[in-house]
Amino acid sequence: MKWIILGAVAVIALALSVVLGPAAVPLGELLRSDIVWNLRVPRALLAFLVGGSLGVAGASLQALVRNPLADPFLLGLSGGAGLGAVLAIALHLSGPWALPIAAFIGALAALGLVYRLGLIGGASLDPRILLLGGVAIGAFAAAITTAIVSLADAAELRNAFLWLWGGLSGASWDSVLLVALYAPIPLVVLVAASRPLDLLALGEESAAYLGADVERVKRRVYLAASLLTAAAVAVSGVIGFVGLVVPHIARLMWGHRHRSLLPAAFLGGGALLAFADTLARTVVAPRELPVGVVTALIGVPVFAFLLKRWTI
Amino acid sequence: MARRPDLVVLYNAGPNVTAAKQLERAGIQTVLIDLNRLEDLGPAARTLGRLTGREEQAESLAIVLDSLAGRPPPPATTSLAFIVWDNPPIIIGHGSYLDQLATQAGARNVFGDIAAPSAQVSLETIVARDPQWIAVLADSAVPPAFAKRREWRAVRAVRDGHFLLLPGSLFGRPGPRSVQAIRELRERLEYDDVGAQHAAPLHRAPHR
Repeated sequence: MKWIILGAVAVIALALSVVLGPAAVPLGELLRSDIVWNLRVPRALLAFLVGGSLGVAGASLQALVRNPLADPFLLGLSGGAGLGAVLAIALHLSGPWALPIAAFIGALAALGLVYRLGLIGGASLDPRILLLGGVAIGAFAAAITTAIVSLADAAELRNAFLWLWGGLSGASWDSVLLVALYAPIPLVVLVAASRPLDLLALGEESAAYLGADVERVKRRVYLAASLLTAAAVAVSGVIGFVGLVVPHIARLMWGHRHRSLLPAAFLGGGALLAFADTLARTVVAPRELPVGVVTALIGVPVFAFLLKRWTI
Repeated sequence: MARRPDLVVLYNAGPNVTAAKQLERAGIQTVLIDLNRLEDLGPAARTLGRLTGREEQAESLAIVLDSLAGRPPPPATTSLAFIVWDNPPIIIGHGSYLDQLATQAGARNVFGDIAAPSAQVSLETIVARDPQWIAVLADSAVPPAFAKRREWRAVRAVRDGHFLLLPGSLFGRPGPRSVQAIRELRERLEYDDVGAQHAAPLHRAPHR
């Protein structure tokens, strides 16, 4: 029953994001409208894919570092992506995909550095150092980004921050296709690691006794979740909150078994972001709200309600 | 402070107010000037004239600038949208001097109903409002990078290559050259209207 409800919520969120928008498109013309086919449908699909990816990445990272505050962007990826984007503008890299590609490369560079830091104690990847390294690399990248922006004479650089705050304005069939082809690979890797992630909750030693190849799982999960997040940040900037709270909501309803938790986090994250983006586009039309504001405004009360219900 | 200027002129905005107070405390004459709309130009000229001892010249300039801000606009013969940034789309609203420049040049800003100087909007709103021109501040003759993005091709003016590439030095801020900016914008719009009929536009950005 829970799965049917979640599936229905996801379908309704997608349908609303196609039907509703700041431009008036009569229901009878929905299927023929260029606005719907060229703008709303790709944006709805991208929102769903990005939200779902962030949900799964968040759930996996929380299990990996055994920290409920873990967020896909806590591991330095947002800082790296921001630096990449700002460098692309400062170096006058042109082309319609220059910014997303530069952000993706920046996120990958941060991923590599944090991963290297995580191995600093030896061959074993230490989740605590991953977290600390992520915060440090993120702060370092953010400091360089701010220095470039403050020294540069281009108003465009200041606008790069608008992109970094996150949003789905850049959605197109190209970006949907890109994410739809790319995301399944890390998603499959993470779902395949469901059982070892369950065991990791017992502690690394116990997980190893119970047959998990702990080091291999940690590396795979970290790399897959980070690659998923890097793709999300490249096409939509840093959309906060989804990757932090959706896994908790899913955990409250589906428990700690990752075989159920990860698909639930995907559907829940996708539905939340698609619905939040519909609200962002419509509630103050013709203006638009940053979607991260809406995800927080929806997610916090839902999270608080569920916490209260499940802990009393 | 180390350079000991006789006068410091600052744009009237949050952090500058604090800086002005600190400079005044250090004995440096400081003035904060509002320069957001065309009607701010005349008072700014008078203030600067008074502070620099050139009141007569400033008054003569201020009269021209006051008349610029107060004159009735010509009827709008075309429409445009100023795009400040493409992702997310940031447009210019009624609160900006650029809206005034467009109105005085005979164009209707399709986002003139938004009171703020600038605002984030959805791309589909730009498509629905269907401006005849997309105006961007640019110092080159190359259309902006977003012109090549598939989602932006949903905007008719982008598909048709109807870009007004306005040099930042002239259009980037309100000032004494705003008279020239209005004249140049009007000429571009008029020329391109004719050019559209005769297929020989000079100022229109090349179609991509």
